Amino acid sequence: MSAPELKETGRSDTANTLSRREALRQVTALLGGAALTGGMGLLGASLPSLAEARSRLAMETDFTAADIAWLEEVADTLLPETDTPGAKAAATGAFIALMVTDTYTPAEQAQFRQGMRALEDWAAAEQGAGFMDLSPVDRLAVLEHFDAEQHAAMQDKHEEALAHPFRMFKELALFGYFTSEIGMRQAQRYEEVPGRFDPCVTRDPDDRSWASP
Amino acid sequence: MSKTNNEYDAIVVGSGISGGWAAKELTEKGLRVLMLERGKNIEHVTDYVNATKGPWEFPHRGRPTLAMEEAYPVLRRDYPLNEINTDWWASDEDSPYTEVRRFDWFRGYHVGGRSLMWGRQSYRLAPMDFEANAVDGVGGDWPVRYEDIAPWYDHVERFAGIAGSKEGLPQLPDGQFLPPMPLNCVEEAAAAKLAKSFDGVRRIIPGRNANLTRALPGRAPCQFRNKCGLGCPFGAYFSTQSSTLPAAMATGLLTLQPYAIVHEVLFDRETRRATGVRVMDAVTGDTRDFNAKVVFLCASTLNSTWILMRSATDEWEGGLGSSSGELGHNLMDHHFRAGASGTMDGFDDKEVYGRRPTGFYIPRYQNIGKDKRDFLRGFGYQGGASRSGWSRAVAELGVGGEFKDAACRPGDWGIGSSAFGEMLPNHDNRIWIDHGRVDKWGMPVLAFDCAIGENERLMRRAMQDDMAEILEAAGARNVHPWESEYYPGAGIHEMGTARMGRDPGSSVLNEWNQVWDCKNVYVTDGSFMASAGCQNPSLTYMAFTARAVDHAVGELKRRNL
Repeated sequence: MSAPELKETGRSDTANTLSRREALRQVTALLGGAALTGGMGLLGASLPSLAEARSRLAMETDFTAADIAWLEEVADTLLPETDTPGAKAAATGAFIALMVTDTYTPAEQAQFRQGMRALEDWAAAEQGAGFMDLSPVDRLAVLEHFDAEQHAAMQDKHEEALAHPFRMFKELALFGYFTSEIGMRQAQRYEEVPGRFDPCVTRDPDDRSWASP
Repeated sequence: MSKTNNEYDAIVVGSGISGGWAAKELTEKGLRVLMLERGKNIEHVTDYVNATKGPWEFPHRGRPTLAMEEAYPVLRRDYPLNEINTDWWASDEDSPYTEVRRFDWFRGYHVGGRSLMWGRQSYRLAPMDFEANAVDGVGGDWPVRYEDIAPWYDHVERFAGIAGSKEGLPQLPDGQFLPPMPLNCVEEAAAAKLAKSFDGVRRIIPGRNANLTRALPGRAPCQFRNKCGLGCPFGAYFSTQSSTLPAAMATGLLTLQPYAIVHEVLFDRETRRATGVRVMDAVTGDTRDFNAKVVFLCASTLNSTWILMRSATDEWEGGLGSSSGELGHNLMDHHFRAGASGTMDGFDDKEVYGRRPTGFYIPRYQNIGKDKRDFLRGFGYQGGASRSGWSRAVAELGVGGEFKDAACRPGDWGIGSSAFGEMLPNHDNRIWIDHGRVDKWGMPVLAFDCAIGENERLMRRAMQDDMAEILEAAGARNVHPWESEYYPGAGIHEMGTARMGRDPGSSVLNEWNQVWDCKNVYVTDGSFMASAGCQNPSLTYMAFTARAVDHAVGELKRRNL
């Protein structure tokens, strides 16, 4: 991740992995200041071990298969196939379900699910059918509506308030897609072992970003 | 623990940056050495299990889960809680501690210690740093001056491999450098513009870091993956595993013992010398004594003091070194997370290739020459310039194909920096043993009471204001000063608690890192620091460790220990 206005560059004596504080700061800033810390007891008394948490699959989350299929289609409308594969090809919906389940507080999860329902209700009321039954053009119109709504809502959001649910969705969809293998290797350029550092390269305007792990 | 020999020439407690150096230097001088490590072994390369994975191979792509946050109430405070290398940070549950005021203590309890996860920034302290306490009358005077330690900086830099540029700055002495990792074009342009302001005293230079830009024996040069914190399969950054441990092993004189928790240094009241250490097996709980002519405590800043506090308590209630009244006192860190950021125009057709594991550095310029401040001492900056990526798209209006394709391309160049500031030594910032609480091994835990003071608060204001001025002078737009919360320890530069000094009445260690009250015990991790400077401290621990070993071996030959 490399949003410079959010990035604390040159952090000393740290692992160069995704910094938790930086991840939180970036996520928090991207969500307009909603704190993601402080989650209590999402998984109740029987907390899984670290190893178990690591091996949890999307299918084991509280989202149903139908929920995940729905998330895949919404994500694929946000980030469709162009000259590179879309969000669905990168299983972004399943990733979103996993992240909501494992990293969102109960309040954030409720907010996210409320957003899913609101989107479905609005599609039915304004487009005459549930999201899954809409044409690609109508699906895009639904997302444009909620994107405008979240963008406006986030402008004057109170610092303590939860993010607009479509902002939550957008953040997770972008994060999931661009850290997937497709997102790293096809939507961006990725070199596991660059082998050298060139401090100044002239690029073509159409060149994709260099992905950073 | 294996049923090996109990008798050694020297015992080294801890296997991190200081312990690794002690073991290397002692064995290379012909001593038979036992190195004790409280945690598990991590084998070079083969145990770097996440080092070559792509981010997509981690289910949460590196982010911690709520379950992890519940399991690690301390690690969750900062980056050590993640999905990628949390196993390398000590468990809060096994190793709790008491906080009268919040202190972030992030530990590495395994072979190699935090040498595996360190940030690798490597700067010498300067003559003015060793003189600061005497000049200001704050803290105890260092019993060492720059010229005493300079040859030892040379010695450790040559072996560790430090990339850096010679700048001729008295406040940041040059060293024995490998070629630097260069500034990128935006940093270069900013540096050139900045050089024309502030009489040229605020300078952007390449960071100095312990990553190889040329091969050294057994170690390949940096491949610019920037995944150092996962262990380097190329051995391209300095760690115990890549550097000092292989050298010590090559002598055939080193025995490395993991899962060995040192309970105390064994003190002989007749001879006034240590006879060895008492060790608890971390797995079985059994205890066993090991004997040696000399003991090096390199267990990390607070852990070495904790051991001293448990030692010789029948002679001194507060433990070995407590007769000074300073054992456990003068705890320091570097305070940071204050600076500024902005954007740089005019470089849309430029990018970098490769992921450089360092950034730029701005050496301290405050309270030097004509620059006078309302605080003592000063700070240096660490920063960098880079292009924004997909994450900028989260806050942008847009959905669909064009939105996605734009997010695949880089955005503006950003530039920013955080200061690292000196925290003054203060007797009231301290640790002690909390006898009301024990860790997994039944050991009464450490308690902390430490906070920054008025000098640091004044400095934090300047850290933001100055960086905003610097970025504007360097040609940046949209400049925003920023500060985020800082609690002592978060810098992971804990120092002090067994300071060295000029007399046994006010210091725990003498000029050679020997405990005044027990001359064959040397403490050479960050505990000895009499002041903090603002430079990242690990290189200084390396140099003092090598110097102390040279002294100890000389004293053994002279039969003084």
